[in-house]
This record gives sequence, C-alpha cells and structure tokens, in this order.
Amino acid sequence: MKMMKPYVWLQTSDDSIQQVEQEIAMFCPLICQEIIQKGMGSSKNCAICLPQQVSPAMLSLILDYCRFHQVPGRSNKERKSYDEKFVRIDTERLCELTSAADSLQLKPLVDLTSRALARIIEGKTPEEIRDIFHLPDDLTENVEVEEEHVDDRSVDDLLSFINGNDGGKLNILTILIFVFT
Amino acid sequence: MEDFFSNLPDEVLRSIVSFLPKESTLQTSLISTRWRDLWNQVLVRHGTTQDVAAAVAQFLARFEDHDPLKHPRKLQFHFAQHTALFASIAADNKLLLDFPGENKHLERNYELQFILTKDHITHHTFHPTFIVKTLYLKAVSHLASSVASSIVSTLEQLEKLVIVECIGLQSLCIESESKLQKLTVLDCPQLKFLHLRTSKLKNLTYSGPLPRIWPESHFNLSHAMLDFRQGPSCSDFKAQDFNQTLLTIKNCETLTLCEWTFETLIWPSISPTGNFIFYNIRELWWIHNHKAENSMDVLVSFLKLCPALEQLFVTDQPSNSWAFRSPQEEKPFSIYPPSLRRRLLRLPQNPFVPITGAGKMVLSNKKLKLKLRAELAQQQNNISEVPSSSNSLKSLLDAATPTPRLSKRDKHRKLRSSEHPPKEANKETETETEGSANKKNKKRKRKVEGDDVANGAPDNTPQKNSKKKKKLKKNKKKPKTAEDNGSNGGGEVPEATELTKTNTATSQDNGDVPTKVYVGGIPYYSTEDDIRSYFESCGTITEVDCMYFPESGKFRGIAIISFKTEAAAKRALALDGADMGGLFLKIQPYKATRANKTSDFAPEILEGYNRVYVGNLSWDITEEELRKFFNNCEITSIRFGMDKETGEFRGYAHVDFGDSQSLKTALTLDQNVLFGRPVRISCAVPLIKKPGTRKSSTVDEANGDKSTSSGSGKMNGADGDKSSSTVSGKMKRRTCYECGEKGHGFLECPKKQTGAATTT
Repeated sequence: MKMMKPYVWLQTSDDSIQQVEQEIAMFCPLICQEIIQKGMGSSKNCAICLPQQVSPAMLSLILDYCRFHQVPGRSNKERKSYDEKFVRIDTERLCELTSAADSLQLKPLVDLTSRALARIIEGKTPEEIRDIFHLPDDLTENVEVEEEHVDDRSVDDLLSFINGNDGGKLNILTILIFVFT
Repeated sequence: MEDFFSNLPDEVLRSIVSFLPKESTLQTSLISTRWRDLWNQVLVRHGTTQDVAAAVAQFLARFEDHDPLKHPRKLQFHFAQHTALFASIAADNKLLLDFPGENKHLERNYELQFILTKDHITHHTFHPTFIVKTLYLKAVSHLASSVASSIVSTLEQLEKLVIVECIGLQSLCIESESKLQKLTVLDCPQLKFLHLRTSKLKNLTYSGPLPRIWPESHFNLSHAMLDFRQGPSCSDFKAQDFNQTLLTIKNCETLTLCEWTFETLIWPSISPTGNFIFYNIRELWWIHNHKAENSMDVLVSFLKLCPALEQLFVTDQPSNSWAFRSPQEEKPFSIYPPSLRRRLLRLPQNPFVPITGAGKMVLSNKKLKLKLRAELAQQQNNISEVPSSSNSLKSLLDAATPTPRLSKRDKHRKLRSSEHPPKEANKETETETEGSANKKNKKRKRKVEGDDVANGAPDNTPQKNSKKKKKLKKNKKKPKTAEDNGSNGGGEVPEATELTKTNTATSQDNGDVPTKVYVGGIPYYSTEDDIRSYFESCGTITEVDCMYFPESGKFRGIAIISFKTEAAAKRALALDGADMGGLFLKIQPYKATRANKTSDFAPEILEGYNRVYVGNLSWDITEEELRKFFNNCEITSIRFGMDKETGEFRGYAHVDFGDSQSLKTALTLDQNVLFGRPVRISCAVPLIKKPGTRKSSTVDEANGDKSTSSGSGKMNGADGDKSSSTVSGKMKRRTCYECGEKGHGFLECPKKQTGAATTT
C-alpha cells in the first residue's frame, strides 16, 4: 500500500485555508521554515499563516511554479521555456506575483519576475515607467535637472566601473580621478 | 497594483535594476526619489576606529560579484572625528579605499606596515564572495593608518597595491610572500623610506621624490617606472644607496627613468666595470629634466646599455607628455648595437610629438643629438595643445604591440631589396605600414614624412614651424600618389608573387613541403588521370593524392598534387581560380596540418590530458547515464557544455578520465548509440590560454597573420572580389568553427566552400 502524501495547511490573506502537498509547499523557504522550526501546518487548526501579500490566486500560481520545478530530471531547456511562459502575464499580476514571491522568500521566482519587470522597464523613459506603474513623480522639473547635474560624476563612476579597464602605468591616474572624486 | 509595485522592498527593486542594461539603469534614477539611488546605493555606517576593518570585511562579504548592483558597492564609514572611509568596489576585483581627511591632521607623519604573509593574515569569520585583488589606498592620514593596515592584513589574495596621495606617510614597509605583483606609489611627498620584503614583485610604479628603497630579498622587476623627477627626498643621498634598486631593475623590460637618476646614481656605480648592461629593456621612457648642455650624451650613454631596445619615449619636465622616437630599420644609428630592432612609428592622434626617425640617412652621434634637441624644442611649442597625455599613452602602448608584423615586413623587404634599388624599397615600406595603420594615424604619419623632408634644416624655430605646416600640406599629396603608383601600377603583380613567396617560405618554416599544392573545387567526375593531364603543363607531377568522401568513397573534389620542383608548384599556384570543367579551382600551398584538419576534426591524444569531448548527446541525458555509458572507464569528472548566456545544455560534454587507458577505451565507444543518438567521441582540445601578456598576444597575432595570408590566397580563388584587404583584424582573431583554424570565419571556411563549390 502506498503511503498517503503528506499535506500541509496554508492560510492565505483572505483567511481561506487550503491543503497543499507538503513537498511542493516546502519549496518556499518561508513555509519550510514554519514547518520545520515551528511544526505548523500539520492540521487545519494550526494552518500556516501566509504573509499579507499572498492572495489565493497568487498562491495557486506560485504552487504551479513550485510543482513544475520540484520535479527532478527536467532539462534546463524545459525549465527555461516554462519560466518564460509563466511570466507572460499582465504587469499588474506580475507585480503582485513578485511581491508574493518575495514575501515567501522564493528567490528563484523573485529573480524570474524581476527579470520580467526589468524587461518591461527596459528602454522606456522615466515618464513612461511612471505611467506603467503609477508611480508618483516626486522629482519636480527643477530637481530633475539639478539631479542630472549631480549625477554626472556618478555616470563617470559607473562607466569606469563597467569598463573597469586595468590602467597601466600612468593610466592609474585617470582612473583615480574617475573613481575617487 | 500601485500598492504592490510600490510596496516591493528595495532589495527587489534593486534586483530589477540589476537586470537592466546599463543605459536603462541610469534612466531609473530619474523615475522618483525612491529610485534615484537604487542603482548606486551607498551604505552609510558609523562606528569606532576598531570597527572599520570588520565593517569593510562585512561589506565585501555581502557584495555579489555576479550581481554587482544587488548590494551597494559603496560604503561610507564614519569613525573617529571628522574622519570617514569611502570604500567602493569596482570591476576586476578592485577595492578602493579613500580616507578624505581634515587638513589639520596632515602634518603628522606616520608609518605604514603591510604584512601579507600567510602567518600574519588575520582570518575573519566572513567569507567574502568578492576577493580583492587590487587595492587602492588614497589619502591615508595619520589617523587612518592603523585602520588601513588592519584592512590590508585581511586581504590574502592581494595582487596589486596602489597607494596614492598619502601625505604624511614617511615610511612604508610591505611584506608579501608571493602574491603581490604590482606596487604603485604616487604622490606621497613625505615618503623617505620604502622597505620591500617581497619576492614576486614584477611591477613597480613610483612617482615622487626618491626615497631610500630597501629591497630585502632579491627579485627582478619586469616593469619599473621610477619617476624621481622631484629629486631625492633627502640631501645626503649617495649613489651606493641606489645600488640595491639598480639590481632589481636590471632585467626590466619596460623602464621609466629620470635623467638625473641615471647620471648621478646609476652611472657612477656602473661605469668602472663597463659590463653592466640592461639586456631586457625593450621600452624606455626617458624623463629628460636637465637643461644641461650634455643632456643628450646622458641619454646616448644609457642607450648604449640597452641592446634590446625597441622603443624610446622622451618627455621633459614638467608636463607629462611624451615624445616618441622610433627609428627605422634600414640604417642603424652608429651608436646603437647592430642588433637593435627598431620599429616604424605609429602615432596616436595628437599629443605625442615624434622625434622623427629619419630612416633614410645614417645619423652620426652628433646629428642625432641635434635632432633630438630640435624635436624637443618643437615639442615644447606643441605642449600647449596637449589635452590628456595618459589616455593616448595607452593607445600608443596598444598600437605598439604588434611586433610580428615586423618580421613579415622584413621578409618583404629582403625580397624587395633584391628587385628594387634600396631607396625605393624604403619608400614602399613606408607606404605599406601606412596602409596597415588606421586612418587616424595616417594624417600624423604624413606629417612625419613631411618632417623628414623638412629635416634638412634641423633647427626648428617656432616661425619656421608654421612655414613647415604649409609645406606639409603640399607634401601631403606626395605620399598618396606614391601609394597609388604602388598599388595601381605594376606594383600589384610583384606583390602577389611575393605573397606566395612568403607563403612558401612560411610553409617551409612549418616543415611543409613546398612542392605540394592543395587543389580544391575539381569536378566530382574527374579521375586522377584528368587531374594529371590538367596540371601537366606546370611541370612533372610525382604524385596525385585524391580525397574521397569517407561514407561513399567517391571523389570529393580535392587533390594534393606533388610536383617534382618548387617552380612547378608555383606555376600551379598561379592557376588558382582557373576553370576546370565549369568549376573554378582553388589552389593553394599545401600545409601538412591542414590535411588532418580538413578531413575530419579529430585532435590527437595528448599525454596527460585525459579529457574527451562527447557530442551529439540527447537533451535529456543525465550525468548518471553518461557515467553508465562509460562504465569501463575511470571517470574523474564530467562537465556539461552550457550556453554561456542562457545556461542551456548544448548537447555536448567534456569527460575527464583518471588514466589514458580509460581514455582509449572511451574513444572506442565513438558512434555508439546512446538515447537513440550516435554519440561522437573524440579527444578534447586543450584550452588555449587567452593572450593576457604582451608577448603571448604578439605570438597569437603572428599566427593570425600567417593564416590570413593563406586564407586570402584561398579567397582569391573563391571570389576575386574578396581580396586580402577585407580580412580585418577582427577576422584574424576569429577561429573557424568548421576546421578550428584561425584567420577566417565559419562562412569563409575553405572546407565548407569546397563542399559548396562541388555541389553546385
């Protein structure tokens, strides 16, 4: 007779409780910690309270992700293409997912979603980015101009950081001028 | 969603930023106040002097090399009163420590002692992911000296130490067993004593007043910059105090030296013996700070000690600009030893004023002196238009690297000198190098040539200078027409034959047979007799070796023809591109190694290198299954080939075996089926070290040169339009995927082309 798969009980932000296979839930470091350290989740009465950011919809998404990646023996190619499809959701849900994954300390998923968000941001002007994410524009025009000026040095800094050219001989001087100012 | 995105912790936002390309990263700083510093956050901490070392260690431990923007790479640590440490991490394992201090502490003198030997390294609990290899210490003051020492003592892997603007630093002791290779000390005006207890130091850069240097153990520097133009740090400095240092710089390859240092410190201690020679100096940077009458004699007497010198740069006080003299090959100056190899000058855009190497005349000692003086005078006039010297210094250094060209040019020259009168040959080499130099340099070089013309009157007063410029403009056209004549007139034909000559010459060097030629693009239906009769006109054929497809055994359109004489082979080479049965033949000198490589790329077994390449693997292969496949062999490790960017498995693996027996058994498994695919197993190609040092890169380029010369020969046959001029420097470095040869890309691969030619 086969052993019944162990389950854990999870309580999401809207107080609903659901049963999840333990080995999948254990994929999230936060849940893993709760189970091992506090012995939570073994019954409905002592369900693991998930952080505020995790809604039932997000939980099911995250569990899907865990379920796929928890299976051993998948090729990198498969994982990659799954991940790619997985983050093909609208920006709003992507943000929600990022926040939920972060609260569950699920680092690979945070990386995945951050990468997706970065792809959205990439190549856009600050104005457009503000529009997409409804961010307040708390840098007034004047400040912005000033800011640009102040950042001049930092641009050099970044450039020298990126290039990181190994200055031979006298070039050290130039690098120092770049970096130390 | 507004909430979700805005509520993301900084850490996540930073990781988002870290995924952005660098340009967009900067853009994000303009989104809002919160985003402003995300990309470039500074960690600000306060603490006591005792905490600093630990804070820096922790700061290094948190930093992730792979994801440099995730954690701040800048630390600002305030300790003591009005004292702060700015630490920042830069690429290439650099750590920069700046202690911008208050002026009132500056007058206090202090000592620094850095001990980097294993016993003294204080091990800390943090294991930094970021290993500091280069440390910049700036403005260490009396207050921060203990902090600096304690930080340095934790850096086990330090290879390069740079100390800058440490005012008040009086004595510096550096002790390192083996790791430390480079030491740079700049602008530490109070430094009087430098104690080096290092055995592996290769690179010493020093700028400032000459301190007493005490190299305790013997070591040889390969690059030394001793810029003591500010004079000795104490008045009672004697020549014998410098002897120890002199020994360390004796085997330098690159040396920067002040005139007075040589005159007052080196010359007195070496002149009696007369056999103290700097055998290895290739590059000399001469700081000419005496205005004395005999200053040129000093330089000349030093040059006599440098038999291997290739480049000489001259500057004078106080600016940092360098004049660059690089004499030409033909007529060695009488003062130089005859072995002196000299190079045509390649100039960067602006700041370097050439001391023109007038190659066309033999210069006596006296004339050289006049010349140098004149150039220096001219240089002083030009100094005003010098923007930044160090930048172009580098470009100059870069430009100076390709030595092997010289040897090739030598060959050309030898060939030419037999055909042309020497004067013309001289001109031609000039135009030739002009062609190879990039456009920016061109202009400059013409100027140099112009200078050559104007050199009849060596005393260049500023007024004459302007006149000369006019002259220059006129002269500009001259070399161009000369060049045109060279390429349009009969120049092309001899050049082509010369190319083949050099080819055969190089192939001889490789141990190849000059009487053999490779012929590709023969129609498939041809028989050996057909080929024989086709090439009979060139000379007696001793052997025709036809190539066949391994699978079908049919003729594959390639034959190696051996002629009885070299001349016959050359005549056959002239047939390159000729028509045979409707196809264009490709004929080129036969290379012994090529046959192996073109037939099937299978590297030979190298002793002690028990690694095989396993290709054509299934995507679903796991390490266990691969181990099972090689169950009779002793496997030490398996590495799957991953795509560098996506991290995907690429269908091949490298397997290391414990012994050569296992390797041989593994090779017998070639083409066995694993997961429904025939596995390809062959010896792995040992990793070729990247050209890091100057020497290896030049060797590399030499190889590149060779293969391009043969490659261009090939291309002439395939399509005449693609002449050798299209083979850019980039191409030279590229390695072909098809045959593994350097000098051409995958598309131009001769193997592929013959395949294509024969199928059409």
